[in-house]
Amino acid sequence: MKCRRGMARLLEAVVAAIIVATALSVSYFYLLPANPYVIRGGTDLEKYGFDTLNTLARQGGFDRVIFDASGEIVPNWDQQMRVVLGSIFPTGILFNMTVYNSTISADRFVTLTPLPTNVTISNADASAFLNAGQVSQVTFIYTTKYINAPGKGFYVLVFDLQLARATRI
Amino acid sequence: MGRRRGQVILMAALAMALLIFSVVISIYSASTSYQQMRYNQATETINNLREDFGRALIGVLAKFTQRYNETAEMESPRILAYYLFSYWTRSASRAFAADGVQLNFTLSNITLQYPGVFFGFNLTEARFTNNQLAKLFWYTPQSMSVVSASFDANLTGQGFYGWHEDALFLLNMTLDVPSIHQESINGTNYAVLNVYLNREYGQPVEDLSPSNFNIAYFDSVGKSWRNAIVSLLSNNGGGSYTLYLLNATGQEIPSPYYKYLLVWAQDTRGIIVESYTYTYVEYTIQENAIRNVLGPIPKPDETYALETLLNGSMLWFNTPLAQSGGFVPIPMPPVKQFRVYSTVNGPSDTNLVEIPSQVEVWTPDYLTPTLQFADWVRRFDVGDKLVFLVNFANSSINQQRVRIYWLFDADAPPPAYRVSINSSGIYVDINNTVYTARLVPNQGNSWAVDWTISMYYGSYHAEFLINGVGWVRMNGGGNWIPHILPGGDWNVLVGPIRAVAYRASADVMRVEPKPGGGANDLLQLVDSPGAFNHTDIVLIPYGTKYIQLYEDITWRQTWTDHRYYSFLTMISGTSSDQGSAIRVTNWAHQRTDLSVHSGTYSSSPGTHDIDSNFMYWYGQYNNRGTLGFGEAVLPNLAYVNAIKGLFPGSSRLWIWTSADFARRVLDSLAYMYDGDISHWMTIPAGKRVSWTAGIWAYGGNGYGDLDTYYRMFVEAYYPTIVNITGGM
Repeated sequence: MKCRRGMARLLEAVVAAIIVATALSVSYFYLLPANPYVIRGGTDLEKYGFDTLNTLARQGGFDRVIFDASGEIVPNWDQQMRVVLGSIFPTGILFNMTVYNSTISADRFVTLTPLPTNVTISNADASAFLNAGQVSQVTFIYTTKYINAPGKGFYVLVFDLQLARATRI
Repeated sequence: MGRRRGQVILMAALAMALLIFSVVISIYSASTSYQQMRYNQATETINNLREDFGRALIGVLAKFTQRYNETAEMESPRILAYYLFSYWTRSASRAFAADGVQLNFTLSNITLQYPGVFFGFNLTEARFTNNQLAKLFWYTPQSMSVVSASFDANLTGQGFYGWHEDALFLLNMTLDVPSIHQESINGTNYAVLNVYLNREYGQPVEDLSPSNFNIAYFDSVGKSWRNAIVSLLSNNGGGSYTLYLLNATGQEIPSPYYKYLLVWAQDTRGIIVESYTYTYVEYTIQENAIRNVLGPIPKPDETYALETLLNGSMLWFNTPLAQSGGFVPIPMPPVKQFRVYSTVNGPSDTNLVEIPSQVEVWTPDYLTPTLQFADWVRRFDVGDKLVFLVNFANSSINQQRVRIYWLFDADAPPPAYRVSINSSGIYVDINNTVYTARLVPNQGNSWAVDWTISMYYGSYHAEFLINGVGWVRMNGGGNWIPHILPGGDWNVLVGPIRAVAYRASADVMRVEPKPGGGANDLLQLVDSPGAFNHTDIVLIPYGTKYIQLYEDITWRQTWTDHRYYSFLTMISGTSSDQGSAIRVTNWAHQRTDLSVHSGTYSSSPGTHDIDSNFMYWYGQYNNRGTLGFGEAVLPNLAYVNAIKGLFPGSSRLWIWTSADFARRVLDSLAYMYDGDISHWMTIPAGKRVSWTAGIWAYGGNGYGDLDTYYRMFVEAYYPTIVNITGGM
C-alpha cells in the first residue's frame, strides 16, 4: 500500500509537468503574431523606408531636391520630392512624407516646422492608408550639406515618412 | 516488484527532464524573437543618428573653417561651431523624442599626429584635439582641419541602451616642399608643386579640381600677395595632385618667389585647409651704433623697435635697413599667429627666446598709423608692420639672429599687452614700464598748455614742444614764445608692445595778446586750417628708454613772424618744483666735432649758452645718485640738416632759463630768437620740414647714456641686415 502511494505521487508529478508544459506551449503560441507575415512585412517596410531615405541622404539627394546653390528652398521642391519618391517606391507601396525644418530659438528651444508645400508629397489619399494592410512610420533626421552663403550654416531636417502596402495580403 | 518500480521512476525522471528542457527552449526562443523584432528598429534609428551626426560635424567644420578664413580670429567661428553643434543635438533629441532618445555628447583629447618629418617639414610636437570640438593646424607645409566628438545614445522607448559613437572628420594637406621646381612646358615656365590631401582614416581626397585650390605668390613688383593661376592640375591618384602655376598675368613666377607659396584647399564638403611652404623667416641683424664704435662695452639699452613689412624688408625710423640680396616675403596669416624669437648671445647662439612683438596697421605707404593700429583681427597685409624689440645687450656681440614664426595652432592668442594707458583728467598717460608719456589728446584742452608731449621718468619729467614758431609781445611788454604751434586732436592707440599717438591735421594753435587785457592776458586761438599741415607721430615702445618721434610739416601759406623757429624744444621745471632739489641742474649737448659741451642752469632767468655747432643730441640732467634724472633729444642727421638748412646761418641751440618759474630750456632752433620786435623771418608756402628724433629718458648723473646710445638714432649707424633665409 505504501509503495502504491509513492507511484501515485510520481504519476501526479508527471501529469502536472505535462499540464505545465502544455500551458506554456499554448501561451507561447499566443505570444507569436497571429500572422507572422504582417509583422515581418511591417518591419520590412520600415527598413525599406530607412534604406531609401538613407540612400537619398548619402547621395545628396535632399540637398539637390530641396535647396538651390545659395541655400534657399526651391519653390517646387515638394513636387520634385514626390517624383523622386514615386520613382523609387514600386507600385503597391503607398508613401506620404512630411518634412520639418528644425529651428532653434535664442533660448535654445527647438521647433519642428513643416517646410512649405503646394502639394502633398504622397501617392495616395489618407483613406488609402486607413485601408492598408500594413502601415509603417519612419522618422529620419538629415543635416544638409554646408550652405556656402554668408550667415548660413546648415539646416537640420526631420522627415516623417509613412509607408503602406496598397492591398491586404 | 522492486525492479519494476525503479524503471517507472527512471522513465518519469526522463519525461520530466524532457519537459523542463522543452519549456526552457520555448521561453528562450520567445524572448529572442521579441528582442529581434525590437532590435531592427533601434538599429535603423541609431544608424540614422550616427550618420547624421557625421554630416552635422562635417557641416560644423566646413562653416568653422570658412568663418575663420574670413575673420582671422577664432572666437566667432568657435561660437558658431558650438551653436551649430547644439542646434543639431537638440534637433536630434527633438526628432526622436517619441522613441525616448537620450543623447549625451562629449569632447575628448585625441592625438592627431605624432612628431615626424613630412616631406622635409619637421613637426616637432604632437597635435591634439585638446578637448575642442574643432581644431585648425594651419600655416605649415603639413596642415589639417579637424572636428571630433562622441555621443552615447539610449532609445528607452525601444528598450535599447548604451550605444557609443566616436566621430572624427578632417582634411589634411601636405605640401611636398622639396619638390617645388620650375618646369618649362611648351615654352612656358611653370612653378610646379605637389600636394597631398586626405581625409579621416587616411582616405585620399580624389575629387578636387583647380577651383578647389587657391595659391598665393608674392608679387615683388606690387609688393603684395596675389593669386596664382592654376593652369594645370594633375590628379595622380591617392590624393596626390600636381599643380602647375603661373602668376596673375599668366607669366612665370620668378625665382625665388615661386618657392614661397600660400596654399588654400577646399574639399567638396566645404572644409578649408591652409598651408604655407615655409614656417619662418630668419634675419641676422647687425647693430652698428656701439660695439664697432666704442668697443665691447655693456649696452643693455640698445634695443631697436624694428618693423618688418610684407615684402620682408625691415625699417628703423621708417628707413629701410640696408642689406644685400633679396628678401623673403612675410606670409599673410592672421596677425595673432606671429611670434618673433631672437638669440641673446649672437648669431651662433643656438637658443632662441621669444621677444616682444606686435603687428601695427599703417597706411599702405607705411608712413602714417591708422585707427586700426592695434587691430589683431586681420591678416598681415600691405600697410601692416610686424614690430619687434631686439636687444644687443651682450658687450661681446654686435649681431643677433631674429626668427619670425607663424604659429600653426589657429588657437594662438594675440600677444599680451605690456604697454598700458590711463586717462587722468585732460591727460592721457602711456606707460611703457620705463617711463610714462603724457599728452593732451583733445585740442580744446590743449589751449592750456604750451608743450606737445611730456615724458615722466622716475620722479620727474620734462616737456617737449614741436614746431613752435614766432613770438608775440604781450600787453605788459614781455614776449610770449611761441606764436603758433601744431594743434588738433591726438589719436592715442595702444598695442601690446608699442603705443602710438598721432595726428594729421591742418589745425594750428595761435597765441595773441588779449586786446584790452592785463599784462599777461593772452588769447589762445585755433586756426583751422592754419599756416601749415602737420603730421605728428609719437611711438612708445615697451621697455625701452626712448620715444620715437616723426614730424612732417608742410607750410600751406607764406608765414612771416618774429624770429623764432623751434624744431624740438625741451623744457623742465614747473611752478610747483621751483627751487627744489628734484629739478635738473645740468645741460649738455654734442657739438659738430662730436665733443660734448656742458654746463649748469641757474635759478634766475637768462641765457646760458648759444651754440651754432650743435649736432646729434642735447639733454638735461641732475646728479642725484639713485634719484638721478635725465632726458634728452637724440635727432638724426636729417634733423640736423633740416634745422640748419631752413634759414642758413640762423640755427642755434639756445640754452636758457625762463622768466616764469625759472624753467630750464633747451631750444633747438632753425631761427634763433633775438627778442627784437622789428626783426622778422618768412617761411615760404610749400616749404616742407620733415625729421625724426628719439627722446631719451635715463637716470642722469652725467651724460654718458646719451653719448653712448645717440648713434642708434643716426642714419649712418642704423642696423643692417646681414642675412635673410626662409625655412621650414
